[in-house]
Amino acid sequence: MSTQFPQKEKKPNESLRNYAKYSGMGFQMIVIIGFFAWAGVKLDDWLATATPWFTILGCLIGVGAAMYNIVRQLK
Amino acid sequence: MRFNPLFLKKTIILSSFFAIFSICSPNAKANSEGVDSAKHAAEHTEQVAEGHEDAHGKEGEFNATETIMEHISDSHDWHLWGDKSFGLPVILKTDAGLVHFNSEEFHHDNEGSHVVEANGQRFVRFENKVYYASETANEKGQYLAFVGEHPTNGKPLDFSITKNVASMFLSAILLLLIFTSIASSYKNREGKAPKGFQSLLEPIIVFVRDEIARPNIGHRYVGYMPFLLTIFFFIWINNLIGLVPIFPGGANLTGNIAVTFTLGVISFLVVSFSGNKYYWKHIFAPDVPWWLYPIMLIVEIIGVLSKPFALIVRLFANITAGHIIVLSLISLIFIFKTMAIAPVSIGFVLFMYVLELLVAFLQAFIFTMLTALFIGTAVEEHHHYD
Repeated sequence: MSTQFPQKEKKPNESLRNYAKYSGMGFQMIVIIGFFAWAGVKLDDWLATATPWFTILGCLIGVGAAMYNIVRQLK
Repeated sequence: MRFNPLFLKKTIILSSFFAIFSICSPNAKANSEGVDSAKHAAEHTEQVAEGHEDAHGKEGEFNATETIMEHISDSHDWHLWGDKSFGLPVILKTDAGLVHFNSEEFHHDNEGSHVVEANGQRFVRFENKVYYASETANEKGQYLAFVGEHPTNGKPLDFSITKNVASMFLSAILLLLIFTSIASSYKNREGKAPKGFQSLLEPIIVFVRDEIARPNIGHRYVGYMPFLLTIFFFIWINNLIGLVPIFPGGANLTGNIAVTFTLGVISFLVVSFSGNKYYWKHIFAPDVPWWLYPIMLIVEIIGVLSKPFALIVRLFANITAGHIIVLSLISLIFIFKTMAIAPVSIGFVLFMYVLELLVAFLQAFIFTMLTALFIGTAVEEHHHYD
């Protein structure tokens, strides 16, 4: 095989890479919110709380953390 | 231009969901309407076919969901066409050692009503799973005890060479044949122009190197080339074999969550083991205010795990969706019970097949490219988010 590599920056590949990056970030967002909400539900089940405070707190923390994570990655 | 197939894919996945719904609903209606006729038919077959007995009970009744699920899921038999199929070895690890027999001994029974005796033990198959048979049959003739929908009988560990496993063996042999022959022709014709099959695959191998490995991993790409080439060609070949509707194909290998899970785990392990100190520092000591650290640590760890998870689900969903669409379109003919719909159906199926050929390549490409991208972030020297 030859040793020369094409040096030109491939535009289509760049857009595909962006697709990969941002779809990955979206997926990460879902999983983070889901995980914290799930942990909250489990905690409420375990402690048998009358009002599901931990579920609420878990959801809020999840959304906050996901948002913070996105902003941090985009910076 | 490159984006087009991706958006198209999204549309396809969406429309496949609609396709399932639209098939389910008229079918449910047809079922309730057809109860009488089904009863009638059942009585009829009972009278007529004594030698035939099980299976083929509700002839004439077409259940699209059942047919489609049967086609996209794994099975102990390899179905050829119509009533024709051939058995594959069933290998079970029971409490009393290994037991094996040919899956034809189940006589196509999947309801748990045909007992197979092997090595002094009795087995039945119910919904593609092998159970230890109960002593006596229940009122439906099943040698199983039920709680709700699920049998409570014990299950032996199933190491059977199922349709998917057999298909994977075939594709592994195919890959070995192709690549040993190409390797030897590179050795024999060193320094010369590629010839024959070699010249067909060289552009693709070079494509994986120049478009996937080098831009994403950087100067350390050489060590990862064998791995990237293997997953690329493994996924691609299996996607293509899955599109072949008759014998050597027909298994939905890359649309099986267990297979894609294994591929995802392998890629996760490769990324993790090639991670350098910057990569791990970024995960375990993220650059955040101290009071956010406990939360961000969890977030980072979820982030690491969600990447291979996205790979697993993406490949599984894309390939399964493609198979479901093709089968749904063909099922339309049988749902409407008219030849008039056939040209439309066949036309759409042909269109989908061409699209699936593209998707087969695209999914192999995306899986490989994302793996290379993750490896790239793991081996990057000066870590920063771009």
